[in-house]
Amino acid sequence: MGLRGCDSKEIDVKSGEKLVIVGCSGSGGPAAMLAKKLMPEVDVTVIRKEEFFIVR
Amino acid sequence: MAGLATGQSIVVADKMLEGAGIGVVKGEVTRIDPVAKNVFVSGGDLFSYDKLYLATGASPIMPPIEGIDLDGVMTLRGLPDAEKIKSRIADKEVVNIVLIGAGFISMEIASLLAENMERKLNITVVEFMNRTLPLMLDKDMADLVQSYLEDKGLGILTNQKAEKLLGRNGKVTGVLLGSGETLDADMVVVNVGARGNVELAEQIGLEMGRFGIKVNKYQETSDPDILAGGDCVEKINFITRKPTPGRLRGPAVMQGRLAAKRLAGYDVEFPGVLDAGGCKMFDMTVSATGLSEEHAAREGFETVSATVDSRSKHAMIPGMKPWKIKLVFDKKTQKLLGGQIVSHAVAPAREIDAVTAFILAGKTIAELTTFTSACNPDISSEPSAEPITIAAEQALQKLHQLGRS
Repeated sequence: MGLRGCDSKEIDVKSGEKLVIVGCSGSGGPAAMLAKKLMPEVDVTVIRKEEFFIVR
Repeated sequence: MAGLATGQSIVVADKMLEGAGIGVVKGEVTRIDPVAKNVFVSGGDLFSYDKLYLATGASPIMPPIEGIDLDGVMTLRGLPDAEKIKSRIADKEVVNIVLIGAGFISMEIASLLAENMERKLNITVVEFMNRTLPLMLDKDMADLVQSYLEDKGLGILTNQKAEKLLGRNGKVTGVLLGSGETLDADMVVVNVGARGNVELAEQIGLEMGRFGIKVNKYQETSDPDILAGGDCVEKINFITRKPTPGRLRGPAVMQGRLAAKRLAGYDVEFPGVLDAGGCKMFDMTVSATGLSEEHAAREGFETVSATVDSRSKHAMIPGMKPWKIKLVFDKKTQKLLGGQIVSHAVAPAREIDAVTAFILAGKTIAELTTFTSACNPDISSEPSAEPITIAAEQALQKLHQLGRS
């Protein structure tokens, strides 16, 4: 598998589709919050193993 | 570590996520099937996905030296680590503390322990390279930090390698250095870097780089339905365009938000990282961005640099504190490559964000000589002492003199 070109538009997630986020620290948390804000119709789930994560 | 915030207050709360309508699952992902598009979680649960975002973070590197598994040898990455250190330090018999690695995590732990403990601790930082904060500062700026910390009572040993951790009855008792010297140690805190948690990505067969999962400017991996960001992905340095770890929280947050925008159909590219970061030790704040003079030389740049002293307030205002900035320019293009600030007040350290903005904008020495800052007697130096402008003027003079010689 190679990286696709940056002009690809196929990545858009559609209404009713499922976005799963693995990890909910510095990157997963903001990804989940903004994804839900921009796409309220998308089913967003975060899976995290840590009870706590961020130190700074 | 400082006790300024509760543990619960520094995490992304489940109720915040759930309140926004986000499902929260506590569990460890054990396997991903990218063909069936399923995520398997410990305990047997399975979640199907249309799109997947991997933000699996990083784990501290523990060097393979003898004694690394002894009781009392710790690291700091997350809140549980901080709680372990605080619990250990509560033991009044813990007096001698050695920190291995002089990066910002070690330096902040050292200063917080020295500042906040009621009893006197013997704290020593051991660094393999020739200076403190070696990924942020050149030696001339790092020497200011070292001198300040030594005045505060910390021991700083540079150009020293921790060869072996010594112990008795399973507990750490000392650190043997490459010089042959032994440091007594009731607790050792090791912070020498981190490694991306990429096991799941490797299992899926995603394309990997030297420093983590390979992604394009939209955080897309080699699987069209999987994006990734944060500490587990390889970044690109904005200036050199070379792969770099870039494991800092700033890029992690921005990459997460960028991935969300990408999934929503926005066309925004991640520009690369400048490794901008800050560190506070006692009343000294250090910040840096871009390439240091030493890093730039390693990358093949011929540089011209300037270091300027400034003031946190106008000179006549009570409470004025000194600070210093160093700017590094590419001699050939005259573009700004990096900046370093060592300040005795917190606020000036944020001027590094202006330096970052100038680098991203490709600003040159001449352009920075006309930079006009927002000035006020209580919040800045006098306009005539604005250090970015003065540093650019000094660099311009150096180039002018070189041109005439």
